[in-house]
Amino acid sequence: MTKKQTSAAEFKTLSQEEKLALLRQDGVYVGKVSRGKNINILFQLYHFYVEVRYNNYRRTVAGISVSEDLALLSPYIDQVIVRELDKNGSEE
Amino acid sequence: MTKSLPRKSLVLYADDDPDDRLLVGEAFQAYAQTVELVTFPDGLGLLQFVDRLNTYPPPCLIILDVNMPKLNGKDTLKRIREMDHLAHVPAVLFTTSTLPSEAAFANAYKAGFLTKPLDEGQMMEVIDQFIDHCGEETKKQIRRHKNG
Repeated sequence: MTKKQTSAAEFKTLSQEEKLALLRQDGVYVGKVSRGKNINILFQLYHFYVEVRYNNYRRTVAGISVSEDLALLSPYIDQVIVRELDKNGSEE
Repeated sequence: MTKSLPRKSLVLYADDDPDDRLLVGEAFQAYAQTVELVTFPDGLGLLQFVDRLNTYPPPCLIILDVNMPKLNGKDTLKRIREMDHLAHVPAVLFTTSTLPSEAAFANAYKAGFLTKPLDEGQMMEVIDQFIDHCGEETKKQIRRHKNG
Protein backbone atom coordinates (compact mmCIF):
# COMPACT_ATOMS: atom_id res chain seq x y z
CA MET A 1 0.00 0.00 0.00
CA THR A 2 1.38 3.43 -0.88
CA LYS A 3 1.82 5.70 2.08
CA LYS A 4 0.45 9.22 1.69
CA GLN A 5 3.24 11.75 1.90
CA THR A 6 2.62 15.17 3.35
CA SER A 7 3.75 18.04 1.11
CA ALA A 8 5.83 20.94 2.37
CA ALA A 9 2.78 23.20 2.10
CA GLU A 10 0.65 20.79 4.14
CA PHE A 11 3.42 20.34 6.69
CA LYS A 12 3.55 24.09 7.30
CA THR A 13 -0.11 24.08 8.35
CA LEU A 14 0.43 21.48 11.10
CA SER A 15 0.78 22.40 14.76
CA GLN A 16 4.27 22.21 16.25
CA GLU A 17 3.35 19.03 18.10
CA GLU A 18 2.09 17.41 14.87
CA LYS A 19 5.19 18.52 12.97
CA LEU A 20 7.51 16.99 15.57
CA ALA A 21 5.50 13.77 15.72
CA LEU A 22 5.64 13.39 11.93
CA LEU A 23 9.35 14.20 11.85
CA ARG A 24 10.05 11.62 14.52
CA GLN A 25 8.02 9.03 12.66
CA ASP A 26 9.08 9.60 9.05
CA GLY A 27 11.93 12.10 9.06
CA VAL A 28 15.42 11.07 7.99
CA TYR A 29 18.03 12.66 10.21
CA VAL A 30 20.59 14.57 8.18
CA GLY A 31 22.74 16.26 10.81
CA LYS A 32 23.18 18.65 13.67
CA VAL A 33 24.91 22.03 13.89
CA SER A 34 25.63 24.24 16.88
CA ARG A 35 25.34 27.99 16.57
CA GLY A 36 26.57 29.44 19.82
CA LYS A 37 24.30 28.08 22.53
CA ASN A 38 21.67 27.04 20.01
CA ILE A 39 21.54 23.66 18.31
CA ASN A 40 19.77 22.97 15.03
CA ILE A 41 18.84 19.58 13.56
CA LEU A 42 18.04 18.98 9.90
CA PHE A 43 15.74 16.25 8.60
CA GLN A 44 14.69 15.18 5.16
CA LEU A 45 10.97 14.55 5.18
CA TYR A 46 9.79 12.96 1.93
CA HIS A 47 10.83 15.51 -0.72
CA PHE A 48 11.62 18.51 1.43
CA TYR A 49 13.85 19.52 4.33
CA VAL A 50 12.91 20.57 7.85
CA GLU A 51 15.24 22.33 10.24
CA VAL A 52 14.37 22.29 13.94
CA ARG A 53 16.02 25.06 15.95
CA TYR A 54 16.42 24.60 19.67
CA ASN A 55 17.18 26.97 22.48
CA ASN A 56 17.20 23.93 24.79
CA TYR A 57 18.38 20.87 22.87
CA ARG A 58 15.64 18.28 22.20
CA ARG A 59 13.52 20.01 24.85
CA THR A 60 12.41 23.48 23.81
CA VAL A 61 11.96 24.27 20.14
CA ALA A 62 12.70 27.85 19.09
CA GLY A 63 11.49 27.42 15.53
CA ILE A 64 10.93 25.07 12.61
CA SER A 65 11.90 25.95 9.02
CA VAL A 66 10.66 24.10 5.94
CA SER A 67 12.29 24.26 2.54
CA GLU A 68 12.53 22.36 -0.70
CA ASP A 69 15.71 24.26 -1.47
CA LEU A 70 18.97 22.35 -1.14
CA ALA A 71 20.54 25.52 0.28
CA LEU A 72 19.20 24.49 3.69
CA LEU A 73 21.56 21.50 3.46
CA SER A 74 24.79 23.44 3.17
CA PRO A 75 25.68 23.76 6.90
CA TYR A 76 25.09 20.00 7.25
CA ILE A 77 26.64 18.78 4.03
CA ASP A 78 29.57 17.00 5.67
CA GLN A 79 27.12 14.94 7.73
CA VAL A 80 24.77 13.84 4.97
CA ILE A 81 24.37 10.11 4.98
CA VAL A 82 23.74 9.47 1.31
CA ARG A 83 22.67 5.87 1.89
CA GLU A 84 19.79 6.89 4.14
CA LEU A 85 18.59 9.70 1.88
CA ASP A 86 18.60 7.36 -1.10
CA LYS A 87 16.67 4.74 0.81
CA ASN A 88 14.06 7.26 1.93
CA GLY A 89 13.53 8.36 -1.65
CA SER A 90 13.01 4.78 -2.83
CA GLU A 91 10.38 3.89 -0.21
CA GLU A 92 7.53 5.80 -1.82
CA MET B 1 13.18 3.02 62.17
CA THR B 2 14.76 4.32 59.02
CA LYS B 3 13.49 2.71 55.87
CA SER B 4 16.43 1.96 53.61
CA LEU B 5 16.32 2.80 49.95
CA PRO B 6 16.37 -0.08 47.48
CA ARG B 7 19.60 -1.02 45.76
CA LYS B 8 19.99 1.08 42.60
CA SER B 9 19.33 -0.44 39.21
CA LEU B 10 22.15 0.03 36.75
CA VAL B 11 21.36 1.53 33.33
CA LEU B 12 24.17 1.70 30.77
CA TYR B 13 24.01 4.13 27.87
CA ALA B 14 26.46 4.49 24.97
CA ASP B 15 26.20 7.48 22.64
CA ASP B 16 28.91 9.51 20.93
CA ASP B 17 26.80 12.69 21.08
CA PRO B 18 27.56 14.49 24.36
CA ASP B 19 24.35 16.53 24.06
CA ASP B 20 22.27 13.36 23.93
CA ARG B 21 24.17 11.83 26.88
CA LEU B 22 23.51 14.98 28.87
CA LEU B 23 19.84 15.03 27.87
CA VAL B 24 19.22 11.40 28.88
CA GLY B 25 21.21 11.91 32.07
CA GLU B 26 19.01 14.86 33.03
CA ALA B 27 15.84 12.92 32.22
CA PHE B 28 16.92 9.99 34.42
CA GLN B 29 17.53 12.42 37.30
CA ALA B 30 13.85 11.98 38.18
CA TYR B 31 14.72 8.35 39.00
CA ALA B 32 18.05 9.04 40.71
CA GLN B 33 16.95 7.36 43.94
CA THR B 34 16.73 3.99 42.25
CA VAL B 35 18.62 4.27 38.95
CA GLU B 36 22.35 4.68 38.41
CA LEU B 37 22.99 5.78 34.83
CA VAL B 38 26.49 5.16 33.50
CA THR B 39 27.33 6.63 30.09
CA PHE B 40 29.97 5.86 27.46
CA PRO B 41 31.03 7.68 24.27
CA ASP B 42 31.07 4.46 22.22
CA GLY B 43 30.13 0.79 22.30
CA LEU B 44 33.65 -0.35 23.03
CA GLY B 45 33.75 1.59 26.29
CA LEU B 46 30.48 0.01 27.33
CA LEU B 47 31.72 -3.48 26.50
CA GLN B 48 34.94 -2.95 28.45
CA PHE B 49 32.86 -1.83 31.42
CA VAL B 50 30.55 -4.86 31.34
CA ASP B 51 33.53 -7.17 30.86
CA ARG B 52 34.98 -5.86 34.11
CA LEU B 53 31.56 -5.80 35.78
CA ASN B 54 30.80 -9.49 35.24
CA THR B 55 28.94 -9.63 38.54
CA TYR B 56 25.42 -10.13 39.76
CA PRO B 57 23.05 -8.38 39.33
CA PRO B 58 23.49 -7.42 35.68
CA PRO B 59 22.39 -3.99 34.41
CA CYS B 60 18.62 -3.57 34.24
CA LEU B 61 18.85 -1.89 30.83
CA ILE B 62 21.41 -1.17 28.11
CA ILE B 63 20.72 1.77 25.77
CA LEU B 64 22.73 1.99 22.55
CA ASP B 65 22.97 4.73 19.98
CA VAL B 66 23.39 3.18 16.51
CA ASN B 67 26.00 5.40 14.85
CA MET B 68 29.08 5.55 17.05
CA PRO B 69 32.84 5.48 16.43
CA LYS B 70 35.03 2.52 17.47
CA LEU B 71 32.07 0.15 17.86
CA ASN B 72 28.59 1.04 16.65
CA GLY B 73 25.38 0.18 18.48
CA LYS B 74 24.44 -2.78 16.30
CA ASP B 75 27.82 -4.50 16.66
CA THR B 76 27.80 -3.73 20.39
CA LEU B 77 24.37 -5.36 20.69
CA LYS B 78 25.59 -8.46 18.82
CA ARG B 79 28.57 -8.77 21.19
CA ILE B 80 26.35 -8.26 24.25
CA ARG B 81 24.08 -11.09 23.13
CA GLU B 82 27.13 -13.38 22.89
CA MET B 83 27.97 -12.78 26.57
CA ASP B 84 26.39 -15.35 28.88
CA HIS B 85 25.66 -12.90 31.67
CA LEU B 86 24.12 -10.30 29.33
CA ALA B 87 22.40 -12.48 26.75
CA HIS B 88 18.97 -11.69 28.21
CA VAL B 89 19.50 -8.19 29.60
CA PRO B 90 16.92 -5.72 28.21
CA ALA B 91 18.47 -3.51 25.54
CA VAL B 92 17.24 -0.68 23.34
CA LEU B 93 18.65 0.79 20.14
CA PHE B 94 18.17 4.54 20.58
CA THR B 95 18.67 6.31 17.31
CA THR B 96 17.85 9.17 14.98
CA SER B 97 16.93 6.59 12.35
CA THR B 98 13.39 5.61 11.46
CA LEU B 99 14.37 2.87 9.01
CA PRO B 100 12.37 -0.38 9.29
CA SER B 101 15.59 -2.34 8.68
CA GLU B 102 17.09 -0.90 11.89
CA ALA B 103 13.96 -1.84 13.86
CA ALA B 104 14.10 -5.35 12.37
CA PHE B 105 17.74 -5.66 13.43
CA ALA B 106 16.83 -4.68 16.99
CA ASN B 107 14.00 -7.20 17.02
CA ALA B 108 16.29 -9.96 15.74
CA TYR B 109 18.60 -9.36 18.69
CA LYS B 110 15.77 -9.12 21.23
CA ALA B 111 16.16 -5.39 21.70
CA GLY B 112 13.73 -2.50 21.63
CA PHE B 113 13.96 0.30 19.10
CA LEU B 114 13.30 3.93 19.97
CA THR B 115 13.74 7.01 17.82
CA LYS B 116 15.32 9.95 19.63
CA PRO B 117 12.83 12.55 20.88
CA LEU B 118 12.44 16.04 19.47
CA ASP B 119 10.95 17.89 22.42
CA GLU B 120 10.24 17.69 26.14
CA GLY B 121 6.96 15.78 25.73
CA GLN B 122 8.54 13.12 23.53
CA MET B 123 11.50 12.91 25.92
CA MET B 124 9.22 12.03 28.84
CA GLU B 125 7.54 9.34 26.71
CA VAL B 126 10.94 7.93 25.80
CA ILE B 127 12.08 7.69 29.42
CA ASP B 128 8.85 5.86 30.24
CA GLN B 129 9.46 3.52 27.31
CA PHE B 130 13.03 2.89 28.50
CA ILE B 131 11.71 1.87 31.90
CA ASP B 132 9.07 -0.31 30.27
CA HIS B 133 11.90 -2.45 28.90
CA CYS B 134 13.16 -3.30 32.40
CA GLY B 135 12.00 -6.39 34.26
CA GLU B 136 8.67 -6.24 36.14
CA GLU B 137 10.13 -5.89 39.65
CA THR B 138 12.68 -3.30 38.58
CA LYS B 139 10.01 -1.33 36.78
CA LYS B 140 7.76 -1.22 39.85
CA GLN B 141 10.64 -0.25 42.10
CA ILE B 142 11.83 2.53 39.79
CA ARG B 143 8.36 4.03 39.39
CA ARG B 144 7.57 3.78 43.12
CA HIS B 145 10.60 5.89 43.98
CA LYS B 146 10.31 8.48 41.22
CA ASN B 147 11.38 11.92 42.52
CA GLY B 148 8.80 14.63 42.92
